[in-house]
Amino acid sequence: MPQLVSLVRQFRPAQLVPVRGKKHLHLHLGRGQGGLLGRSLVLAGFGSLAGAGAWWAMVRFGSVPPTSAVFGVGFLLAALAGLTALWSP
Amino acid sequence: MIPSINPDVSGKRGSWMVAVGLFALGSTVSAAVLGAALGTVGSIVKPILPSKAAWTLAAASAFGYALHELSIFRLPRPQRRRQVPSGWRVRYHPWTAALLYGTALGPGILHYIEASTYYLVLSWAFLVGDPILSALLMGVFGFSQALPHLLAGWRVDSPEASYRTGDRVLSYRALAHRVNGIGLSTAAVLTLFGTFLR
Repeated sequence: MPQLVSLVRQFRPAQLVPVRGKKHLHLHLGRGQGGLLGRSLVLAGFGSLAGAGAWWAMVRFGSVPPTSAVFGVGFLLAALAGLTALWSP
Repeated sequence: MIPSINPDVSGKRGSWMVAVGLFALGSTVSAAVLGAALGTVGSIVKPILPSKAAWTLAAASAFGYALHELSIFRLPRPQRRRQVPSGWRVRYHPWTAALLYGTALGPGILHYIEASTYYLVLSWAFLVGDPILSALLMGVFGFSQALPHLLAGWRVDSPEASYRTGDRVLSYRALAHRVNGIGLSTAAVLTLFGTFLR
């Protein structure tokens, strides 16, 4: 936990930063560990939103019973785990 | 693992395809056997297991391990820190070795565990509590382990090229963990919604 506290202290709020020579703004999430934390939280938030969105789409447009949806998640996880299981030296 | 296994399946395209197929066969069957065993145990304890609490715990674990995969904090990753025997590559015919490696690596519990997503797949197989569905679930895990070999080794024509390809694949290791983090956080939310918004 001390590491997490340290990361939180270093974390600076995301801000849009203009970069010379670039026409678009860059999302700047801080430097070093703070940036890592920021990026990680953004990714976790993105994943959670994707989950909520997928759920909403299934309920709104699909005829998939919720229990099947949970089981479908298991299949997706299994495929993901399998694809990355041997990604080691 | 990818650079270690691929030299066995390098060589002529036809021979290589057979080896990858045998690897996939061994991996799928052995993982499915573990899944069936987990599903059987799960079906026995299912009547006494508080379903909502168990699925909530699974969702919380999924989110916790998502943060682990995204390097926010560390969670324990119990595993057997062993590798598959490298001697099989020289001792056996490449096809036999590919089948043996697939069988040994398929269940995932006999060697290093790279991605935490694996623990959630095991818990899913257990909580589903149906031997056939759990075998299917773990079978998907086992089969998916063969796909990176298929993709990474497609243009490999020598052991040297195989090691080079393996190094290139490993350069995406951090990305693989991030993708797992996103997948786990997605799964956590979907599971919670599926458990409580029925």
